[in-house]
Amino acid sequence: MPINPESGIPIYLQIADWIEDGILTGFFEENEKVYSQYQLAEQYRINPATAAKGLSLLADQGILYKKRGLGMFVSPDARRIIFTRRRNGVLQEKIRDAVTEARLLGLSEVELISMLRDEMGGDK
Amino acid sequence: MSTLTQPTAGNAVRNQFLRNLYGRSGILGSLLALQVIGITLSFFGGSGFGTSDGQITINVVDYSANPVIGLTLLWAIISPLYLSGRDSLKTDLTFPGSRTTRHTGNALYLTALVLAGSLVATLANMTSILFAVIPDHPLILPAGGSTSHYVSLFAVLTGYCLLLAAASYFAGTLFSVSRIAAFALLALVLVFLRVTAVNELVAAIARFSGDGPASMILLRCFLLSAFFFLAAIVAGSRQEVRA
Amino acid sequence: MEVDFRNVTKKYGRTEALRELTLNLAGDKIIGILGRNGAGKSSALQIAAGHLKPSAGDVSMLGENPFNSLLVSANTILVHEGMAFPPALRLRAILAELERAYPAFDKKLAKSLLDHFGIPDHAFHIQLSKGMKNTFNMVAGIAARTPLTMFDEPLNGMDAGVRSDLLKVLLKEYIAHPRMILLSGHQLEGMEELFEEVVILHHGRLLHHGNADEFKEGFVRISGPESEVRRAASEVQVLELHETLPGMAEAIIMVRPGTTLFMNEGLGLKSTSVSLGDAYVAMTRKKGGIDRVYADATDGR
Repeated sequence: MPINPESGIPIYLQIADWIEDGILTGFFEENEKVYSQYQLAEQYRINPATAAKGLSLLADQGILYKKRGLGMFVSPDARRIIFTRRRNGVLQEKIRDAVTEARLLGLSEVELISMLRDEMGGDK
Repeated sequence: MSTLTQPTAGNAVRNQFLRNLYGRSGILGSLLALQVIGITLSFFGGSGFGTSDGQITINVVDYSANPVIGLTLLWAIISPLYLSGRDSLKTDLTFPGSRTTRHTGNALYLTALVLAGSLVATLANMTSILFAVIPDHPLILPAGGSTSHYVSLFAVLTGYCLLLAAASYFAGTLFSVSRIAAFALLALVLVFLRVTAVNELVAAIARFSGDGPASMILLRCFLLSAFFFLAAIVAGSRQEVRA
Repeated sequence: MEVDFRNVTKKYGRTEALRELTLNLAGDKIIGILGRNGAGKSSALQIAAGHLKPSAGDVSMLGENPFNSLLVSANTILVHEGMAFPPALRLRAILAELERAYPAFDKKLAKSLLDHFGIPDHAFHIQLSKGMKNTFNMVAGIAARTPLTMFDEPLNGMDAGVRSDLLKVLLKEYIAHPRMILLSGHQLEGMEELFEEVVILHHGRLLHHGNADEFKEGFVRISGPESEVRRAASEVQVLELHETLPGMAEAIIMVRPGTTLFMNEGLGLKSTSVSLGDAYVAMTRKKGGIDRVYADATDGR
């Protein structure tokens, strides 16, 4: 994956996304070491501090864990965490779209919620 | 972590000296070229350097008007101007050193070249007399045509070359620091020295025979040169070049 | 390594290149010194290298004033267009000279880099083209491995391939041998992702100094229908606003760190992040930009 400075997404987020992709596809396995900030920096020609920021973002979410002096490793929970977060992200976006659409059509909050409830009830 | 380098002034002076020797080979080259020209002139066209005055033409074939000596003195005036100029400072700024180590290295380098140049000029003078026997010129050997005579020539030549080089180096440094100051100093020198002093200087070079005065001249020149080099260090301590 | 400028002013005759600049740089970081032409970047670097003496104020590095400091000089190298080498030496001999002068100089690295970039080591520095000269200078600066390494507009005149290779080498060298690296430029030319910190100078004054990523995140570009962009922009600090297509506009706005920008996507507004180059150009641009200058100049007709 090439890093794109003009894409509108901060570089460290692009780095984090790339590692997440690697975990989901199985390129990085559970309890396996991921690239160091220096390897990432060289690979993508970015400052090591920026790469470190991407790694620590994943560590904060529990996707990676640190072994002192050894580097960053994929935590056993990583796939689940990424999966949950990405799913929520997609869902959230759809809901936001629905709200925007509802406003455009002049629907009230109550009407929208009742539509949602009908939709959920219809599944039963 | 990056490790700090602990430089020594001696090393910086040494590097400055060596950089002059290898990287500014034009200075040494011009000395050699001028001396070769001088030797050629003294072998083939010695009389060309005499005055039209009949009395002095005797000296022309002899030693005092030897072109090697004249050209060596000329070199001692010109080359320090290059060494003390802005381009040279710009180059030196690329390498580790302070303005003091730079001037010190330059002064040592000029001293070494002056010694070498004077030695060559003295040797050329010795051989030119031998050569002068070959063409059918009338030959008058110098009064003290002995080893001590040439030692004196060497000492006096070294002294005056060094003095000229030091004065020129100081003037060049001053000029590259402040043109106004350099011109003001030049005006002062012209006013106080007048033309008579220049004549005395030339006459003094002629009066080199005898051991006592020669060593005195060398000592005096050496002290004056040291003064000029120190003055250059002081004047050049604020020297800067805007890239 | 720490570089400390306190109220530093530098004058050339009546022109003030630096005006009371106070700046503290610390740590083995890659720091971008940005600013438009004449912002004072070169003067600041030449003062840090001890080549120039400040007209007023104090500079301190390694506990000494860099001007005439042997210690600072031995631990610093400034690569710039005016960098000069002994004229009588071929490049090969210049490398030997640098090796003697800088104890950490890696001659083997320098030699292989010159080979890679196709610069013959039997050439004289003065014979090189502008791009090659700058390439040689940058190679010399990288290989010197001084604790403070400064590059003033290093990439001028280079081919895109050479530029990208040199930046890669610089980064590798920085990772293998960490040191403080200052990179100045008015065009970033691919350097921007290397910066950990940025310093922005404008008219000899410090406009900004801080973390590069945080600096970028302080700016947002919004685009969409002109009326909506103008309405959204009226509530925030706008650095630049211009029409892109008839009826459409784009604006670069400054946001406070930690605040989220609320935008109604239903109105067709889009927000994207801003590159470092665009952010600093927008920050240092005159109000109204070139369009305004042109409009003012042609108004009277």
